[in-house]
Amino acid sequence: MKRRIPIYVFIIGAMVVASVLYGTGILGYLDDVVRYASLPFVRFSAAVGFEVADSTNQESVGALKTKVKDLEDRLAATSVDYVKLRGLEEENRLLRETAKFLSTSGYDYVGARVIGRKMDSHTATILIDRGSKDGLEKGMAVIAGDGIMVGKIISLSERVSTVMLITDERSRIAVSPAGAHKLFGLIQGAGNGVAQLTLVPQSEKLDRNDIVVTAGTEEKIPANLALALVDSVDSRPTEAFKSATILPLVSPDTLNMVVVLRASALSPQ
Amino acid sequence: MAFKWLGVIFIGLLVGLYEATIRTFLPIPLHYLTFLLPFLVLFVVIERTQYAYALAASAGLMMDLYSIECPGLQIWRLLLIVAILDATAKSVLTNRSIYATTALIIFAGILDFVTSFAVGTFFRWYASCPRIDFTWRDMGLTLILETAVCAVLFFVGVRVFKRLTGAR
Repeated sequence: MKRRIPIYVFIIGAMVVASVLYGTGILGYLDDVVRYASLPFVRFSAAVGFEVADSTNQESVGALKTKVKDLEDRLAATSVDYVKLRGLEEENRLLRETAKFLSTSGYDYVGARVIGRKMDSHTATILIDRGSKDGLEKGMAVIAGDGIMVGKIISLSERVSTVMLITDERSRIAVSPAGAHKLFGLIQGAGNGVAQLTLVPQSEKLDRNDIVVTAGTEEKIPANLALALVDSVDSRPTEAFKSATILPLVSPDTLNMVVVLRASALSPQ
Repeated sequence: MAFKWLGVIFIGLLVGLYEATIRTFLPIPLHYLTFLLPFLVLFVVIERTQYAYALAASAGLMMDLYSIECPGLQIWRLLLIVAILDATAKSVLTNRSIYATTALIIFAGILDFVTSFAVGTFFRWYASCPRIDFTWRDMGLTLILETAVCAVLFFVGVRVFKRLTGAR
């Protein structure tokens, strides 16, 4: 009587064959075909998930009132700076239009939808529906809203990319104060939706409600992209550097559509 | 017959799509709501293991294609879980009652966590993937909701089967 081969043997054998096919690139090609066919359904289901999350996100009335009061107070405190900032923004806008900033800087952009996310006490990553076929590369800046940087690409395939948000434990971004063109610190993700501004020299001025922007020292991340708001400053005269807790300007829960800044030299024809 | 296979594969793709995309957006406690293991366990309990393998493969494919950052080897993990569940059901279970199903879904949930943790640890070492965030609360809440979903599917399945076959 023939002895039946256990199913485990088939499964392990199939794993070995799949590993060989993956190593030779054949499976990668099939992956791309299946992703291409399934992406429209994935986008639809991501939209459904986002709408369900949005509709179930309810805070108590008391908590909302407290939040509104706190935001109003902070808004009042920043009103003078806001006027100055608006003036500078208008000047910047005019200069950019005159100098045709985007075309001469070599950056163009591609929109992407968030199709998955992973938020826990250590990681803060999202999956977007653009990949290397759209001219994306590792290290490119990802922005949301009015040019606020939310993270950068850390891995990608032909159709999808993983974006690490600034609150991820592994995230490190060089920053400078808004309006200044100098490197003065580092934003380090701390997990749990929180990040810290560290390595700020004691001689640098740093106050609550200051806005920090990208320093432009990383290859594919332009300078002056707004990142975060300083929440509380920890400064001790006995230490060489001061640090601060920062609030990201965009909440990950609201991320549905993002924009990836890419070098125009690599954009597809 | 072909329609049954297509139906199972379609359900597997939908369940995989839910696990890979929709579930990642849901807030707690909805985030712990999962349908994959309940379907697999029910197919094993009603002795339709080949459908369980097909569902595991199709759902695992969607989960692997849209995994965030690091691979989870979902297809192989789920196929192995079905194989272990099948062997356990044949050797340990004496009946196909709701109590046996509940025991099997709890066992499947523990297997799922153990294998996820093992794969995650391997890729943390091999490919510098991020740390795995495991808490007993996550495991407990997921097991409770999986058991509840499985029980609901079991009763719905029995009612539909009785209605279709006219059995009492």
